[in-house]
Amino acid sequence: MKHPLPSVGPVSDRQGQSKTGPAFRAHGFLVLSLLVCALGTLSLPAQPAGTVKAAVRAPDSATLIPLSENWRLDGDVPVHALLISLQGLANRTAPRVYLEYPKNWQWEIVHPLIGFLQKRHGVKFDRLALNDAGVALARYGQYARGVVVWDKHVRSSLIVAFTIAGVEDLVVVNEDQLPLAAAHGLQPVVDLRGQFTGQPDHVIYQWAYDRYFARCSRDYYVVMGGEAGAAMQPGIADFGIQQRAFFTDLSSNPKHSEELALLNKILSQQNPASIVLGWHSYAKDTEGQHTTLVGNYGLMMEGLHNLPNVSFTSQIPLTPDFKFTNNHHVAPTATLQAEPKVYLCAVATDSMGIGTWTKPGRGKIPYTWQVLMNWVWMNPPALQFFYEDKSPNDYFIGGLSGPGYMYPKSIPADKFPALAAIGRRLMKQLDLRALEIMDYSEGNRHVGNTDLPKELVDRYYAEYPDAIGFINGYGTARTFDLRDGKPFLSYEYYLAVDRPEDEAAADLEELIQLNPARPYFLLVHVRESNTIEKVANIIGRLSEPVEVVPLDTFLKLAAGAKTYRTYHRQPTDPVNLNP
Amino acid sequence: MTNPMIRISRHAGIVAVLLFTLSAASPLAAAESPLAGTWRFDRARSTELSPWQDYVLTLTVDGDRVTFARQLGAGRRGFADAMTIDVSRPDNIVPVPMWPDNRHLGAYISGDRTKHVRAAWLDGGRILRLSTDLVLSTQQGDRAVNILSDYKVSANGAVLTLTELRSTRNRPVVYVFNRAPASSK
Repeated sequence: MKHPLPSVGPVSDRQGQSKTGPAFRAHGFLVLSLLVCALGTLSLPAQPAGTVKAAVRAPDSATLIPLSENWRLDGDVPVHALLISLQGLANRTAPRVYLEYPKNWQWEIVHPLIGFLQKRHGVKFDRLALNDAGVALARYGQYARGVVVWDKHVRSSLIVAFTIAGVEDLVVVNEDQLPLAAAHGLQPVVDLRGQFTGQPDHVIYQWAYDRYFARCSRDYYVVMGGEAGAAMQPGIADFGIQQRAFFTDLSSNPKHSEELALLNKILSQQNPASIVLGWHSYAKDTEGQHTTLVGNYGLMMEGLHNLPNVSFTSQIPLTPDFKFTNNHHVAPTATLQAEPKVYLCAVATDSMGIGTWTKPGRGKIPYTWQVLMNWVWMNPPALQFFYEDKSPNDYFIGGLSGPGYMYPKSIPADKFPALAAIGRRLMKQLDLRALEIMDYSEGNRHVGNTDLPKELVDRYYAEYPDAIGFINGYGTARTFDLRDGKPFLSYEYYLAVDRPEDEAAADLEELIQLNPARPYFLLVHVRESNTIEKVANIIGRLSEPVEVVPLDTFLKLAAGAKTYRTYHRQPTDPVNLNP
Repeated sequence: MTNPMIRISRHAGIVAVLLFTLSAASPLAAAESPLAGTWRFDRARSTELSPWQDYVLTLTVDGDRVTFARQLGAGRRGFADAMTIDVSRPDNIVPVPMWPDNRHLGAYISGDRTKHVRAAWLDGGRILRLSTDLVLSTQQGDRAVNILSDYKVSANGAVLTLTELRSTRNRPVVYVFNRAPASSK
């Protein structure tokens, strides 16, 4: 049924400013939420102030809607876009709708998290049929005041429709879905059919900018990239719509000068240290270009375009009996004496939810996992799930370069302290003592360099005084330092997904040969799809015994035996700007 | 006093004789080297190549002067280099801007960014053997490394096998290439 609301005026997500629209039709949940927000901002993490309101407790019940595996625009994307937009609107004032993405979804924790929410929060899910837009609209159509119609023939019109959905409280439909929407009292408010025919993206998004940007959030901007062409996986769109974010897939590639100019205009107007959600378009620019540009504005990137259900999970609090507790092995002030042997530390990054957490082998050997720290407010149940599910051999560290995914070399010096302050707070909250750094602004694991100049190393030591050490790289890097018992080490090896065990073992043996002094500190970055079983097998093939240790032990051992040379990025190091 | 023109002429004659002798000694004097051409990486028959996915090798042979042009690729990323060595010389000093052979190891070209290469023809020119000395920089310092590389052409000339033995690696690296059709060179 259509909700009889007047047209929505300008809105802001910034704390203290008024909102209009369905948000004020909330029930007791909102009252509790506001109370928590008002009283508990200190305990809430570093989200843009007031944009996410965790409830006192999870809801007693919620609607669960399974989604199909088809993510083609000429397939099931239309019904998925409808449901995701409806989810964003329905979840604005309380967590009501959880979408069950398919089993092969990249963020694989979507399924274990359902069990976690049932078990730890007592949420009772009312499960609808696959892609059941009809029942969903019957239940939650009241949170929309109409529909925005995207043009089936212009892909970018769907991305514009996400922006409009958030600003105008509209469900996203195409022309085939108009009868269904009408059956639930939802009529077209904005119709994009024919609006963009034959236009390039910079013109399309300029049109959206001129009409909607002023009313969009300055705390969130969504890059609705990733897959291009016939496919789209807009998992993060529910949160963007909930937050009234501006959506585009504008390119940061200098060869797309018009798109880049508009993107610069957008990013320059976002709040300091605000959030860039989503991922760059695989068809337009590169990860290095995009992340570098975001860093230039001192913004935090949460780089997973298909991260699902954040409009729901961000409102789920931690259970009262839970506290983030890491498996520390050494006290921060402890000193360890290394033996004359090889120490190996395996680190998995790339977001725990898309890796091997649920695969066989976890717990078999000491393993270090990089935590995306902003998830403490974007996705508290997911982090609680990981922390509670950890084995004694799982150890957590912070990343990536700070709060979110960022390249420190691209961040202006005057913007770094604000980000570092957020990072320090998150590390403390999450009981993390080591920080992982990655910088692809001048290279990648193939070419160029991923090292930090001394000035930046100085900055990390100064801004993170409580850290027990730092690690750098993604592929290998060569930034090494040691100050006040706190090592700054780089990855010695990158375990590629395709690397067979025998060749990987030969690689490690070669490194051991190349570095004859003992102790030798062999830090390995394990690409997320490699199983822990594979890593254990590789280590088992080595002719020289190695001791596998978690990162805190590794850092403490490296602090006591500096067999590595101090090295910072040199002016003569190769540079590649990731074209 | 000898006429300078006669002296130059005499010298030119000596050089010509020497060149003829050298070229006669080279197995490549009469025919094009079987190594020459563009070779495309055969992933299924080779040692895994990561971080690269593709490798195109172009060999140009002009007597004892051999040019190796490598194109390594992985999606949008790529690296290309080329070196020319003279097989007759005991030492060829080659600039090395980057050591791309295994970027997943924490080992980088060191010092003066050069390598020393000497080469020899074997088996009547079917095999070219290189011995390369370079210094790699690691977290613990500089390490001298020797690489023995055999470029062998199959009997029918269609397949090139590059076998590399690095002094620091216990396992050989074997890259197999197929000769690219002339149109794709």
